[in-house]
Amino acid sequence: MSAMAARAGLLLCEVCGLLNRRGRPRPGRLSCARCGNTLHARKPDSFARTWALLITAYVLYIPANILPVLETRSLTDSTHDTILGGAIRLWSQGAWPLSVIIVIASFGVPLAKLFVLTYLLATVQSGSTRNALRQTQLYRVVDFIGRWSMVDLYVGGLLVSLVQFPPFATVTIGPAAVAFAGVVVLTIMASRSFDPRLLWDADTRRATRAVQNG
Amino acid sequence: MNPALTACPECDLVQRAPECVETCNVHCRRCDALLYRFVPHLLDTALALTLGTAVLFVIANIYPVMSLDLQGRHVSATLGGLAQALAAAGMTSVGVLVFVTLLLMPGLEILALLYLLVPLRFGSAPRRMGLVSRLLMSIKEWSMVEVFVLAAVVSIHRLGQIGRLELQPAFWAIAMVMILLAAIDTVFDSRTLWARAAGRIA
Repeated sequence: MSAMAARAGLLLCEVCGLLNRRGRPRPGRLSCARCGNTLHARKPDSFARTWALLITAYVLYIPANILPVLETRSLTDSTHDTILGGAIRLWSQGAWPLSVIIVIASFGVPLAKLFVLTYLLATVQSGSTRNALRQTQLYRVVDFIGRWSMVDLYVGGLLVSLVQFPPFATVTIGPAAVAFAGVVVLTIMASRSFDPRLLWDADTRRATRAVQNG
Repeated sequence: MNPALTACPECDLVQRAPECVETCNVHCRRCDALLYRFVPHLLDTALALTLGTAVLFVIANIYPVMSLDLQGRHVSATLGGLAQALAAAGMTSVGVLVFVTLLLMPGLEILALLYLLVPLRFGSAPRRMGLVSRLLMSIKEWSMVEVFVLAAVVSIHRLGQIGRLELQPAFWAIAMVMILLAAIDTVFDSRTLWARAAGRIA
Protein backbone atom coordinates (compact mmCIF):
# COMPACT_ATOMS: atom_id res chain seq x y z
CA MET A 1 0.00 0.00 0.00
CA SER A 2 1.20 3.51 -0.75
CA ALA A 3 2.45 5.47 2.23
CA MET A 4 0.51 8.46 3.46
CA ALA A 5 2.74 11.04 5.15
CA ALA A 6 0.41 11.37 8.15
CA ARG A 7 0.60 7.60 8.87
CA ALA A 8 4.39 7.64 8.57
CA GLY A 9 4.59 10.42 11.15
CA LEU A 10 5.53 13.01 8.53
CA LEU A 11 4.05 16.45 8.02
CA LEU A 12 4.44 18.55 4.90
CA CYS A 13 4.76 22.30 5.48
CA GLU A 14 2.35 23.92 3.02
CA VAL A 15 4.28 27.19 3.11
CA CYS A 16 7.90 26.21 2.46
CA GLY A 17 7.50 22.60 1.28
CA LEU A 18 9.69 21.02 3.97
CA LEU A 19 8.74 17.50 5.04
CA ASN A 20 8.84 17.53 8.85
CA ARG A 21 9.06 14.55 11.19
CA ARG A 22 6.36 14.63 13.82
CA GLY A 23 8.79 13.86 16.64
CA ARG A 24 7.74 13.01 20.17
CA PRO A 25 4.09 13.75 20.77
CA ARG A 26 3.76 16.79 22.98
CA PRO A 27 1.02 19.23 23.72
CA GLY A 28 0.55 22.41 21.72
CA ARG A 29 1.01 23.16 18.08
CA LEU A 30 3.70 21.75 15.83
CA SER A 31 5.70 24.20 13.79
CA CYS A 32 7.86 23.79 10.72
CA ALA A 33 11.57 23.39 11.45
CA ARG A 34 12.46 25.69 8.56
CA CYS A 35 9.88 28.47 8.27
CA GLY A 36 8.18 28.28 11.67
CA ASN A 37 4.62 28.07 10.35
CA THR A 38 2.06 25.85 12.07
CA LEU A 39 1.89 22.32 10.68
CA HIS A 40 -1.36 20.43 10.21
CA ALA A 41 -1.59 16.81 9.11
CA ARG A 42 -5.05 17.77 7.80
CA LYS A 43 -6.70 21.18 7.65
CA PRO A 44 -8.17 21.85 11.11
CA ASP A 45 -11.91 21.11 11.63
CA SER A 46 -12.29 20.65 7.90
CA PHE A 47 -15.76 19.02 8.05
CA ALA A 48 -17.31 21.42 10.54
CA ARG A 49 -15.94 24.54 8.89
CA THR A 50 -16.78 23.49 5.35
CA TRP A 51 -20.34 22.44 6.29
CA ALA A 52 -20.96 25.68 8.18
CA LEU A 53 -19.75 27.82 5.28
CA LEU A 54 -21.66 25.72 2.73
CA ILE A 55 -24.99 25.84 4.55
CA THR A 56 -24.73 29.60 4.98
CA ALA A 57 -23.92 29.93 1.27
CA TYR A 58 -26.98 27.80 0.34
CA VAL A 59 -29.19 30.10 2.38
CA LEU A 60 -27.77 33.26 0.77
CA TYR A 61 -28.03 31.75 -2.71
CA ILE A 62 -31.82 32.13 -2.51
CA PRO A 63 -32.04 35.94 -2.03
CA ALA A 64 -29.12 36.32 -4.44
CA ASN A 65 -31.32 34.89 -7.20
CA ILE A 66 -34.76 36.15 -6.17
CA LEU A 67 -33.97 39.80 -5.43
CA PRO A 68 -33.08 42.30 -8.15
CA VAL A 69 -29.37 42.77 -8.78
CA LEU A 70 -29.49 45.67 -11.25
CA GLU A 71 -31.92 48.53 -11.58
CA THR A 72 -31.83 50.44 -14.87
CA ARG A 73 -33.68 53.71 -15.38
CA SER A 74 -34.10 55.56 -18.66
CA LEU A 75 -36.47 58.29 -19.91
CA THR A 76 -39.03 55.76 -21.04
CA ASP A 77 -38.87 52.93 -18.54
CA SER A 78 -37.35 51.45 -15.42
CA THR A 79 -36.37 47.81 -15.03
CA HIS A 80 -35.35 45.62 -12.12
CA ASP A 81 -33.40 42.56 -13.18
CA THR A 82 -32.49 39.47 -11.21
CA ILE A 83 -29.27 37.69 -12.17
CA LEU A 84 -31.06 35.28 -14.51
CA GLY A 85 -33.48 37.97 -15.68
CA GLY A 86 -30.56 40.11 -16.78
CA ALA A 87 -29.06 37.18 -18.66
CA ILE A 88 -32.39 36.49 -20.43
CA ARG A 89 -32.66 40.17 -21.41
CA LEU A 90 -29.14 40.07 -22.88
CA TRP A 91 -30.04 36.91 -24.80
CA SER A 92 -33.17 38.51 -26.24
CA GLN A 93 -31.09 41.51 -27.35
CA GLY A 94 -28.88 39.13 -29.30
CA ALA A 95 -25.90 39.38 -26.95
CA TRP A 96 -25.88 35.64 -26.33
CA PRO A 97 -22.14 35.26 -25.61
CA LEU A 98 -22.49 37.72 -22.71
CA SER A 99 -25.65 36.02 -21.60
CA VAL A 100 -23.84 32.68 -21.49
CA ILE A 101 -20.92 34.18 -19.49
CA ILE A 102 -23.34 35.64 -16.92
CA VAL A 103 -25.34 32.41 -16.59
CA ILE A 104 -22.18 30.33 -16.16
CA ALA A 105 -20.26 32.69 -13.87
CA SER A 106 -23.11 33.96 -11.70
CA PHE A 107 -25.62 31.14 -11.66
CA GLY A 108 -23.84 27.95 -12.65
CA VAL A 109 -20.48 28.31 -10.93
CA PRO A 110 -21.79 29.01 -7.41
CA LEU A 111 -24.35 26.21 -7.72
CA ALA A 112 -21.75 23.77 -9.05
CA LYS A 113 -19.45 24.66 -6.15
CA LEU A 114 -22.19 24.12 -3.59
CA PHE A 115 -23.26 20.76 -5.06
CA VAL A 116 -19.76 19.40 -5.60
CA LEU A 117 -18.54 20.33 -2.10
CA THR A 118 -21.71 18.84 -0.58
CA TYR A 119 -21.15 15.65 -2.57
CA LEU A 120 -17.49 15.42 -1.53
CA LEU A 121 -18.22 16.02 2.16
CA ALA A 122 -21.10 13.53 2.13
CA THR A 123 -19.13 10.75 0.48
CA VAL A 124 -16.10 11.19 2.77
CA GLN A 125 -18.22 11.25 5.90
CA SER A 126 -20.35 8.28 4.90
CA GLY A 127 -17.24 6.32 3.91
CA SER A 128 -18.52 5.82 0.37
CA THR A 129 -15.55 7.34 -1.42
CA ARG A 130 -15.11 5.24 -4.56
CA ASN A 131 -12.61 7.05 -6.69
CA ALA A 132 -10.39 9.44 -4.75
CA LEU A 133 -8.51 10.50 -7.86
CA ARG A 134 -11.63 11.58 -9.75
CA GLN A 135 -13.00 13.33 -6.68
CA THR A 136 -9.71 15.18 -6.18
CA GLN A 137 -9.91 16.34 -9.80
CA LEU A 138 -13.47 17.48 -9.22
CA TYR A 139 -12.34 19.41 -6.15
CA ARG A 140 -9.56 21.09 -8.14
CA VAL A 141 -12.01 22.29 -10.78
CA VAL A 142 -14.34 23.70 -8.13
CA ASP A 143 -11.48 25.37 -6.28
CA PHE A 144 -10.23 26.95 -9.51
CA ILE A 145 -13.54 28.29 -10.85
CA GLY A 146 -14.79 29.80 -7.60
CA ARG A 147 -13.24 33.24 -7.97
CA TRP A 148 -14.76 33.75 -11.43
CA SER A 149 -18.17 34.36 -9.85
CA MET A 150 -16.88 37.80 -8.93
CA VAL A 151 -17.36 38.81 -12.58
CA ASP A 152 -20.93 39.97 -12.07
CA LEU A 153 -20.04 42.15 -9.10
CA TYR A 154 -17.27 43.87 -11.06
CA VAL A 155 -19.60 44.38 -14.03
CA GLY A 156 -22.12 45.86 -11.59
CA GLY A 157 -19.44 48.16 -10.23
CA LEU A 158 -18.49 49.37 -13.72
CA LEU A 159 -22.12 49.96 -14.73
CA VAL A 160 -22.90 51.83 -11.51
CA SER A 161 -19.84 54.06 -11.81
CA LEU A 162 -20.25 54.84 -15.50
CA VAL A 163 -23.97 54.90 -16.26
CA GLN A 164 -24.84 58.06 -14.36
CA PHE A 165 -26.72 60.23 -16.85
CA PRO A 166 -29.97 61.21 -15.19
CA PRO A 167 -32.59 61.38 -16.52
CA PHE A 168 -31.48 59.55 -19.70
CA ALA A 169 -29.81 56.50 -18.19
CA THR A 170 -28.87 55.50 -14.66
CA VAL A 171 -27.94 52.14 -13.19
CA THR A 172 -28.07 51.28 -9.51
CA ILE A 173 -27.31 48.01 -7.87
CA GLY A 174 -29.95 45.98 -6.05
CA PRO A 175 -30.01 44.08 -2.76
CA ALA A 176 -29.19 40.74 -4.45
CA ALA A 177 -25.62 41.98 -4.87
CA VAL A 178 -24.97 41.76 -1.13
CA ALA A 179 -26.33 38.21 -0.92
CA PHE A 180 -24.42 37.26 -4.04
CA ALA A 181 -21.18 38.72 -2.65
CA GLY A 182 -21.80 36.59 0.45
CA VAL A 183 -22.23 33.45 -1.67
CA VAL A 184 -18.99 34.14 -3.54
CA VAL A 185 -16.95 34.78 -0.39
CA LEU A 186 -18.44 31.85 1.53
CA THR A 187 -17.98 29.32 -1.28
CA ILE A 188 -14.36 30.39 -1.76
CA MET A 189 -13.77 29.97 1.97
CA ALA A 190 -15.60 26.63 1.96
CA SER A 191 -13.48 25.25 -0.82
CA ARG A 192 -10.32 26.43 0.99
CA SER A 193 -11.36 24.79 4.25
CA PHE A 194 -12.01 21.41 2.59
CA ASP A 195 -8.97 19.14 2.65
CA PRO A 196 -8.69 16.84 -0.40
CA ARG A 197 -6.41 14.54 1.61
CA LEU A 198 -9.56 13.44 3.46
CA LEU A 199 -10.69 11.80 0.21
CA TRP A 200 -7.52 9.72 0.16
CA ASP A 201 -7.87 8.86 3.85
CA ALA A 202 -11.36 7.54 3.13
CA ASP A 203 -10.06 5.66 0.11
CA THR A 204 -7.27 4.07 2.18
CA ARG A 205 -9.74 3.05 4.91
CA ARG A 206 -11.98 1.39 2.34
CA ALA A 207 -9.05 -0.43 0.76
CA THR A 208 -7.90 -1.65 4.20
CA ARG A 209 -11.41 -2.95 4.98
CA ALA A 210 -11.52 -4.71 1.64
CA VAL A 211 -8.21 -6.47 2.36
CA GLN A 212 -9.32 -7.49 5.85
CA ASN A 213 -12.60 -8.89 4.57
CA GLY A 214 -10.56 -10.89 2.10
CA MET B 1 14.60 14.47 7.26
CA ASN B 2 15.76 13.05 3.94
CA PRO B 3 15.70 16.02 1.51
CA ALA B 4 15.09 13.63 -1.39
CA LEU B 5 11.62 12.85 0.00
CA THR B 6 8.49 14.95 -0.16
CA ALA B 7 4.75 14.50 0.36
CA CYS B 8 1.90 15.56 -1.89
CA PRO B 9 -0.06 18.53 -0.50
CA GLU B 10 -3.31 17.16 -1.97
CA CYS B 11 -3.17 13.39 -1.43
CA ASP B 12 -0.42 13.10 1.21
CA LEU B 13 1.54 10.43 -0.67
CA VAL B 14 5.20 10.24 0.38
CA GLN B 15 7.41 10.11 -2.68
CA ARG B 16 10.88 10.84 -3.98
CA ALA B 17 11.62 14.48 -4.86
CA PRO B 18 13.79 14.41 -7.98
CA GLU B 19 16.30 17.22 -8.44
CA CYS B 20 15.94 19.22 -11.63
CA VAL B 21 18.71 20.90 -13.60
CA GLU B 22 16.56 22.69 -16.15
CA THR B 23 13.02 24.08 -16.07
CA CYS B 24 10.63 21.44 -14.80
CA ASN B 25 7.36 21.01 -12.95
CA VAL B 26 7.29 18.02 -10.63
CA HIS B 27 3.84 16.45 -10.21
CA CYS B 28 2.52 13.92 -7.73
CA ARG B 29 2.73 10.43 -9.20
CA ARG B 30 -0.63 9.45 -7.72
CA CYS B 31 -2.92 12.50 -8.08
CA ASP B 32 -0.89 14.74 -10.43
CA ALA B 33 -0.92 17.77 -8.10
CA LEU B 34 1.99 20.17 -8.63
CA LEU B 35 4.57 19.36 -5.95
CA TYR B 36 7.14 21.99 -6.82
CA ARG B 37 8.92 23.43 -9.82
CA PHE B 38 12.40 24.41 -10.78
CA VAL B 39 13.09 27.45 -12.95
CA PRO B 40 16.69 28.50 -13.60
CA HIS B 41 17.33 32.13 -12.60
CA LEU B 42 14.03 32.16 -10.70
CA LEU B 43 14.97 35.19 -8.60
CA ASP B 44 16.01 37.35 -11.58
CA THR B 45 12.92 36.39 -13.58
CA ALA B 46 10.43 36.76 -10.74
CA LEU B 47 11.93 40.06 -9.57
CA ALA B 48 11.91 41.56 -13.08
CA LEU B 49 8.27 40.53 -13.56
CA THR B 50 7.29 41.86 -10.13
CA LEU B 51 8.93 45.25 -10.71
CA GLY B 52 7.08 45.54 -14.03
CA THR B 53 3.83 44.59 -12.33
CA ALA B 54 4.38 47.21 -9.62
CA VAL B 55 4.85 50.04 -12.15
CA LEU B 56 1.79 48.99 -14.17
CA PHE B 57 -0.30 48.58 -11.02
CA VAL B 58 0.45 52.20 -10.05
CA ILE B 59 -0.58 53.34 -13.54
CA ALA B 60 -3.75 51.24 -13.28
CA ASN B 61 -4.64 53.08 -10.09
CA ILE B 62 -3.98 56.60 -11.33
CA TYR B 63 -5.79 56.67 -14.66
CA PRO B 64 -9.44 55.86 -15.44
CA VAL B 65 -10.31 52.40 -16.75
CA MET B 66 -12.96 53.55 -19.18
CA SER B 67 -15.18 56.51 -19.89
CA LEU B 68 -18.68 56.94 -21.25
CA ASP B 69 -20.10 59.89 -23.22
CA LEU B 70 -23.83 60.52 -23.50
CA GLN B 71 -25.79 63.67 -24.30
CA GLY B 72 -22.63 65.79 -24.13
CA ARG B 73 -21.71 64.56 -20.70
CA HIS B 74 -18.55 62.61 -19.87
CA VAL B 75 -18.26 60.09 -17.02
CA SER B 76 -15.08 58.13 -16.29
CA ALA B 77 -14.31 55.40 -13.77
CA THR B 78 -11.10 54.56 -11.94
CA LEU B 79 -10.53 51.30 -10.06
CA GLY B 80 -10.95 53.10 -6.75
CA GLY B 81 -14.01 54.89 -8.13
CA LEU B 82 -15.68 51.52 -8.70
CA ALA B 83 -15.61 50.66 -5.02
CA GLN B 84 -16.67 54.19 -4.09
CA ALA B 85 -19.60 54.16 -6.51
CA LEU B 86 -20.85 50.88 -5.05
CA ALA B 87 -20.57 52.23 -1.53
CA ALA B 88 -22.33 55.43 -2.57
CA ALA B 89 -25.15 53.35 -4.09
CA GLY B 90 -25.76 51.95 -0.62
CA MET B 91 -23.87 48.68 -1.19
CA THR B 92 -20.98 49.32 1.20
CA SER B 93 -20.21 45.63 1.72
CA VAL B 94 -19.96 45.01 -2.03
CA GLY B 95 -17.81 48.13 -2.38
CA VAL B 96 -15.49 46.86 0.34
CA LEU B 97 -15.26 43.44 -1.36
CA VAL B 98 -14.39 45.09 -4.68
CA PHE B 99 -11.80 47.31 -2.98
CA VAL B 100 -10.21 44.36 -1.18
CA THR B 101 -10.07 41.97 -4.16
CA LEU B 102 -9.14 44.53 -6.81
CA LEU B 103 -6.88 47.03 -5.01
CA LEU B 104 -5.81 45.98 -1.53
CA MET B 105 -4.91 42.32 -2.15
CA PRO B 106 -3.17 42.79 -5.52
CA GLY B 107 -1.22 45.68 -3.96
CA LEU B 108 -0.22 43.57 -0.97
CA GLU B 109 0.63 40.66 -3.27
CA ILE B 110 3.11 42.85 -5.18
CA LEU B 111 4.57 44.27 -1.93
CA ALA B 112 4.97 40.80 -0.39
CA LEU B 113 6.69 39.51 -3.54
CA LEU B 114 9.10 42.46 -3.52
CA TYR B 115 9.72 42.01 0.21
CA LEU B 116 10.74 38.37 -0.38
CA LEU B 117 12.50 38.64 -3.72
CA VAL B 118 14.66 41.78 -3.34
CA PRO B 119 16.73 40.61 -0.33
CA LEU B 120 16.99 37.04 -1.66
CA ARG B 121 18.19 38.32 -5.02
CA PHE B 122 20.97 40.26 -3.29
CA GLY B 123 22.03 37.40 -1.05
CA SER B 124 20.27 37.89 2.26
CA ALA B 125 17.10 36.45 3.76
CA PRO B 126 14.26 38.85 4.57
CA ARG B 127 13.20 39.13 8.22
CA ARG B 128 10.11 37.14 9.17
CA MET B 129 10.22 35.32 5.85
CA GLY B 130 8.00 32.51 7.23
CA LEU B 131 5.23 34.90 8.18
CA VAL B 132 5.36 36.86 4.91
CA SER B 133 5.38 33.65 2.82
CA ARG B 134 2.27 32.40 4.58
CA LEU B 135 0.54 35.78 4.22
CA LEU B 136 1.37 35.78 0.51
CA MET B 137 -0.44 32.44 0.12
CA SER B 138 -3.60 33.83 1.71
CA ILE B 139 -3.36 37.14 -0.14
CA LYS B 140 -3.23 35.42 -3.52
CA GLU B 141 -6.57 33.71 -2.84
CA TRP B 142 -8.27 37.08 -2.69
CA SER B 143 -6.42 38.94 -5.40
CA MET B 144 -8.71 38.81 -8.45
CA VAL B 145 -7.26 41.06 -11.13
CA GLU B 146 -7.88 38.50 -13.90
CA VAL B 147 -11.56 38.25 -12.99
CA PHE B 148 -11.88 42.03 -13.20
CA VAL B 149 -10.34 42.06 -16.68
CA LEU B 150 -12.98 39.57 -17.87
CA ALA B 151 -15.66 41.77 -16.27
CA ALA B 152 -14.25 44.84 -18.05
CA VAL B 153 -14.36 43.04 -21.40
CA VAL B 154 -17.94 41.93 -20.73
CA SER B 155 -18.90 45.51 -19.83
CA ILE B 156 -17.52 46.98 -23.04
CA HIS B 157 -20.44 45.61 -25.03
CA ARG B 158 -23.14 46.57 -22.52
CA LEU B 159 -21.80 50.10 -22.05
CA GLY B 160 -21.29 50.58 -25.77
CA GLN B 161 -25.05 50.25 -26.24
CA ILE B 162 -25.71 53.09 -23.82
CA GLY B 163 -23.25 55.74 -25.01
CA ARG B 164 -19.87 56.29 -26.61
CA LEU B 165 -17.42 54.14 -24.68
CA GLU B 166 -13.68 54.75 -24.64
CA LEU B 167 -11.06 52.54 -23.05
CA GLN B 168 -8.64 54.54 -20.92
CA PRO B 169 -4.98 53.83 -19.93
CA ALA B 170 -5.81 51.90 -16.76
CA PHE B 171 -7.69 49.29 -18.80
CA TRP B 172 -4.52 48.35 -20.66
CA ALA B 173 -2.40 48.67 -17.52
CA ILE B 174 -4.61 46.31 -15.50
CA ALA B 175 -4.73 43.85 -18.41
CA MET B 176 -0.92 43.83 -18.41
CA VAL B 177 -0.90 43.39 -14.61
CA MET B 178 -3.09 40.32 -15.15
CA ILE B 179 -0.65 38.86 -17.69
CA LEU B 180 2.42 39.59 -15.52
CA LEU B 181 0.84 38.15 -12.36
CA ALA B 182 0.01 35.00 -14.34
CA ALA B 183 3.61 34.86 -15.58
CA ILE B 184 4.91 35.21 -11.99
CA ASP B 185 2.58 32.37 -11.01
CA THR B 186 4.14 30.06 -13.57
CA VAL B 187 7.70 30.61 -12.28
CA PHE B 188 7.26 31.27 -8.55
CA ASP B 189 8.20 28.41 -6.25
CA SER B 190 8.46 28.92 -2.51
CA ARG B 191 10.51 25.73 -2.11
CA THR B 192 13.27 27.25 -4.28
CA LEU B 193 13.07 30.50 -2.31
CA TRP B 194 13.51 28.61 0.96
CA ALA B 195 16.41 26.64 -0.42
CA ARG B 196 18.07 29.95 -1.33
CA ALA B 197 17.34 31.38 2.09
CA ALA B 198 18.64 28.31 3.94
CA GLY B 199 21.54 29.22 6.17
CA ARG B 200 20.92 32.94 5.79
CA ILE B 201 18.12 33.12 8.32
CA ALA B 202 19.18 34.46 11.67
